[in-house]
Amino acid sequence: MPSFHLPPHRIVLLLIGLVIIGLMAINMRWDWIPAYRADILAGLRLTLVLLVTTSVAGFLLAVPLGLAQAAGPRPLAWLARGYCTLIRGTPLLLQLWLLYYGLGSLFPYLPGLRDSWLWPYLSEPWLYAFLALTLSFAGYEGEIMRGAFARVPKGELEAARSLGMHPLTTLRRIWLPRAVRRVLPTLNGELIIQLKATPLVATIAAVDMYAVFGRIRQETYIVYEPLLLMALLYLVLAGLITLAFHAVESRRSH
Amino acid sequence: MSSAPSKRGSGVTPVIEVNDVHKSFGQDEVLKGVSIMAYRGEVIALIGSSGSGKSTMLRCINLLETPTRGTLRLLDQEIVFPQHGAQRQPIDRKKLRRLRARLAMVFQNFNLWPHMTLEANIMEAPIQVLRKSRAEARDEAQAWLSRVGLYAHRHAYPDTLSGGQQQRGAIARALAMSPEVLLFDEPTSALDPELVGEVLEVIRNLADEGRTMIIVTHEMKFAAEVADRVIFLNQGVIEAEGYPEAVFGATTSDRLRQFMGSAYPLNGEQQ
Repeated sequence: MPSFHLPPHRIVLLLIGLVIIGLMAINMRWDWIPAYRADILAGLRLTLVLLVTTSVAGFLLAVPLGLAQAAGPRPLAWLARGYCTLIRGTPLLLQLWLLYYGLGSLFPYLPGLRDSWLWPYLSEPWLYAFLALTLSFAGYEGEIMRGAFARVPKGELEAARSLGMHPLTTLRRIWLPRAVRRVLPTLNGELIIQLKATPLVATIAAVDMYAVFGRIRQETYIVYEPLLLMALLYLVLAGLITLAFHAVESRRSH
Repeated sequence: MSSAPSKRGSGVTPVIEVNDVHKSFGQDEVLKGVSIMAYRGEVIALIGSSGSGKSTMLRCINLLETPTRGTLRLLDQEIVFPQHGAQRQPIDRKKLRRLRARLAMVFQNFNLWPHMTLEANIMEAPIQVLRKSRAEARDEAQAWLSRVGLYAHRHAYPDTLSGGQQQRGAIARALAMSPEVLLFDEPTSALDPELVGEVLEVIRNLADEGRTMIIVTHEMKFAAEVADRVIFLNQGVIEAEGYPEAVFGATTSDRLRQFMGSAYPLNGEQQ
């Protein structure tokens, strides 16, 4: 049981904190919030959607990337390792721009593509945002999964093999769950890093939370207040991610 | 030459026939032509110093290791090595897996799966490999756990159990496959001395049931007591083989005498 007794220095700190928040509420300008509420929520939604979809898709790619490096045939292992090195060794911003300005500018030259049903999607910035963030997450998690797969004791896999288990069953029932459980604490941090990488998509005109607050600042000429609110929102999201992971980890400590 | 009759062994054809098996790791030849026959109901103890190839031999029988050359006849399935020679008939993987399940193995380090409860560990292979229903697998798992005295611990995770309990759980996991042969790879070597007894007790009971077993062990006293036949491996070849009394009393092999005397002073004369 955590104690709720507060020592004096904590009470002082708490009071100082409350005073600062009070001063901020009174002395700073927050009157712009109602006007931009819908925009902020829309931006928050895109940020969340990007975070969730890219980390899920990225992780799904990371599993084969890690497996190929840990146990794959040599050419495949090299290919996966090369991919992870490339992704981890170059700025995400660069990857994003290469996809958006590079790939995106090549598409119009493909015959017939402009008239196809795909075209509206191909000109959407969020598609490139999704691609770049997914590929990046896959690169980082692929490296982490490599280590996790490699660290599952060989004997546990041998036990499965010696009982006649199919290799894919062994992967699904033993190897993967053991590896994933090992990376859960790391994954928590990685998701928060991924969250904080999403503002980069504002540079290719995707309107995420960061882009919305940027626009607010330009339109209202208010310098600090939007930044503070944005910081608070990112902080809350990061906190929620950590809480979710703690819940998962304490539920199954094995 | 290795078909010495034994106390419990019965039947005309051996359950397992290892014929002139060689195994190399790189330049290092660990098995230099080993032949073993195991008859139904027979308990064979494989002894020898570390590096003698006894564990490798056992792992070849479960096909965890692939012999470099030689022939294995495992439960009527003949496999000739190397598999990819000109006129060989490669055994298909599905058959191989089915075969493995009937030659269940117990490891030195237990190798229970830490993310599953003891009961789930035992249910896993019967469900995934033998395609049993969950209910049936659970009933059987509980019966096997009772057999090894772990019913009360069925919902425990392996890392909360002692080494002896984990090894008994691993034996239950092997038994749940209804194997025709049980292979033990130094089942007590990773255990604290006071936990060895409970595991040996379980193995002894299985021997008394008439199960076919091959046990790689350092427990000479146990081998002498339980085994119908003892095989002494030294540097990849069989140095001595026969009834426990004969092998342990043997004076024919210098190496065996040295081995018995140095590592395991059990012989009366050694005191």
